[in-house]
Amino acid sequence: MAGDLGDTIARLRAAWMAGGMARKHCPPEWLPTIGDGPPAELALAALAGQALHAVFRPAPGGPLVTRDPLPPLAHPPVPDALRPRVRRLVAAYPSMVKHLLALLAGRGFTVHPADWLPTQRSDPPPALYAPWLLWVNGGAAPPRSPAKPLVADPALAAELAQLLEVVSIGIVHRRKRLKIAKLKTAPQTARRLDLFAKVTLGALAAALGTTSAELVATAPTGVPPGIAAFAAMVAATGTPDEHRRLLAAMLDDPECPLAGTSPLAATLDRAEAAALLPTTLRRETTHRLTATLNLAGAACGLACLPDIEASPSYKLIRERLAAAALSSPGQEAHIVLALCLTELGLVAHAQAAQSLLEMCIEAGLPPADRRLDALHLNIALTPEISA
Amino acid sequence: MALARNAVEALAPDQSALTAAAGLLKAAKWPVRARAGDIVWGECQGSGANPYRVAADMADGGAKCTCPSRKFPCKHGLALMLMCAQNDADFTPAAIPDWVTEWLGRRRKTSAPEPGQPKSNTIAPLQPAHETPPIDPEAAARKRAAAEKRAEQTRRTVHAATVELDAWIADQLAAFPAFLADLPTRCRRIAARLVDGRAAALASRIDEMPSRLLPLLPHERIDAAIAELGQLVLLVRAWRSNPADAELTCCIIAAETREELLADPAAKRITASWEVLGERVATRRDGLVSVATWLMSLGETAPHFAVLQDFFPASAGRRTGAFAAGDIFNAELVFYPSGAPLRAVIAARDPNAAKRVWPAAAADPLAAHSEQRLKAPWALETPLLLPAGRICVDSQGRHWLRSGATCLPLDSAPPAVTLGAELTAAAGLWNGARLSLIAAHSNWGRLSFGG
Repeated sequence: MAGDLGDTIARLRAAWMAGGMARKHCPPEWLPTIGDGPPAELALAALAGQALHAVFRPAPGGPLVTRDPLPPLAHPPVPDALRPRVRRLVAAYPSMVKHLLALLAGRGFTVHPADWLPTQRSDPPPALYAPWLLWVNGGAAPPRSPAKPLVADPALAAELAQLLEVVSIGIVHRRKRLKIAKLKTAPQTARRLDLFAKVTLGALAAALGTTSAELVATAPTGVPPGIAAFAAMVAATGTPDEHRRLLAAMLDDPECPLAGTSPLAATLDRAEAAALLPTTLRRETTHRLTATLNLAGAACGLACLPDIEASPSYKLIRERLAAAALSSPGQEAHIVLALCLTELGLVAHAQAAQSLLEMCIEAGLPPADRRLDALHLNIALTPEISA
Repeated sequence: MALARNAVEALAPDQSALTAAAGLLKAAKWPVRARAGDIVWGECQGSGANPYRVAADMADGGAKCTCPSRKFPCKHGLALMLMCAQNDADFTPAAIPDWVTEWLGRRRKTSAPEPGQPKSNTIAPLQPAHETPPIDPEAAARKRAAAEKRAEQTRRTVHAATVELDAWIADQLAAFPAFLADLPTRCRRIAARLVDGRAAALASRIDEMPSRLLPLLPHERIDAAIAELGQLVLLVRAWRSNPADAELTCCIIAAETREELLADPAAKRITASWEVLGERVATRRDGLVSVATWLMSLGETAPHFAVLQDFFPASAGRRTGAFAAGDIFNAELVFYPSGAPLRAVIAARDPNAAKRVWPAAAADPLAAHSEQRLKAPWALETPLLLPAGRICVDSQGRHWLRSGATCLPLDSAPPAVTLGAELTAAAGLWNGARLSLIAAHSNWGRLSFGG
């Protein structure tokens, strides 16, 4: 029946698409029912429409492909009650997702896949999300960034060396320090940055007439982008020990900008990263904790209250809290406080987060204020605090 | 110190707001009234399907309401404060809910108004309620006769409009390719004629037809357009043969009011535990925003579906619904008349739900659609509960839900996680060509799909 009806509908459809009357294409047994003239066309439309809905069923034209199931991760997703806060944080602060993931991982949780899944363009998530990254890429390993040359190119290293200087410092203890001075022209500056991405630490040291150990023993000096490029070069081509030594030197030098240090933290374990938090918090100079969070990595959620209170950021927050409590969304004070509280919420230990939350509420922020989402989440992820 | 009655009256922006607020001073209209200190809040059942959420600060007269009124405070805010000023014992002490705290966090505190200093010297205080005057039988009879005369005139006008619609449908079938190529203009023209002919609901349906047809692939659009025109034919013929039918009047002219529906003893009522599946929000061509909140009954028996339908002017800005996807409550729903009732209003609600489990899906979910088409062939979509399945992709990148022996194409790409999820059940809306998923249960828990 469906076959005959299907043929009839096809003829009716073809007649209408050709701009003609469909009545002459319907089965003869329909004619007494549908009548004549325009009412017949209307009746045929009603019959055809009803048949299309009630009799025929959709069918795919070819095979349907099902993806492999999304694999579970080593940690469970956050409890459902916390997912609204996670969703809001992911939506409001996409650049901080990696820190949020680190905080969750440190407390034994992952994000729920309906709230966030990695993409090819997202910042590399903690290693624990590797199965999802593999699944998102259709089972293929994600494309790797171009590998650094394993064989040093002396010509490029020599060229880079000409754009740098090694100076001797110290009176009793003589040491070498790399000087990355401001260059005269923009093309030279661009070329130097490009060379930092292509040359190995060992090749550069040789071209400068020194050793890798000497180059990483002291923090470089000079223009911040150059310092960051040098740190990235060491992170890409140096040994883990060289990473640690240069990082320690840069953190110990109050003149060295904090911003370029994060690539060196990649090989730190959680305990090593946590040990750096007091220093980085103290070294921040603005209300943002960007460098601290980037260096913290897996140590998100471990900063203690005394270290937070020693940071310039905390002092700024205290000054702005009263004004921001009365500000409206969209006003600068509101936005700044939201950013600061979110960053603090991601880096603080749960007990520190509890103290910060109490301070904010005492200053006039309502407990359900969205700016406190990160602090609430931090506390809730530690059952003994939130109970 | 909380505001007194005269101080609340002084807050009214105009007389009509205060008068309207007086009409809301009935406990039956407020299924929820609670307070914490000076902060009071409640839910007021207005003319819409969803209750309005209202909050106020009795210390300074600040108020917030989800209704589309531009007045501040609106009649709901005034009514809430008046009731509290009259007798705050009617307000249950409770913890401040998140939606109230969020409002408190955003508002700038204002100073409390001075009592006895109204905003406008043209606003008169509310007078004590008087006894209703006795009904004059002759006046009532005259009123009834006038209403019947108006109704008969409306029927004649609408009848003429439907005859014009028939001619329009015949013209579109005779020039079908041109109709498909120029859907928005042609539909808008006949919709305007139907509005003139007082067939407002029919006009809206046709005005929105392009939004239903244009997202389809060209070959699907042909059959869908035939089906839409065929449904219009059935609808107007059914109405012409029975113009007094409530369901058909709702589809052609306008739905009865919430009050009329609740007062109708023949209206279908279902008391059950209901889950909010999700919301569908759409901006219509007439400038109204349609908010459809879909519910499904829970428990072991076959599911009932219901939709709470509200409309707001787009200029009123984003409105938040009273319910969130996944909310579960016990409620008595009263359904608008239909051969396959779906649109409903909430008559009574209790947040404590007895049942919390999705019912089992039928082995053939499309059988429900076929059955609905027999009872209400003009229905635009059928809610379906589908058994366990997976979301798949065809060779052209289109997404399908394969559920048992049924494969249904989806109306849009679903969230990435659903491609890797094993769905144990899914609920969605089937319009004959596409499935719009609303919610599902899976190995990753409850999943929501955007509207």
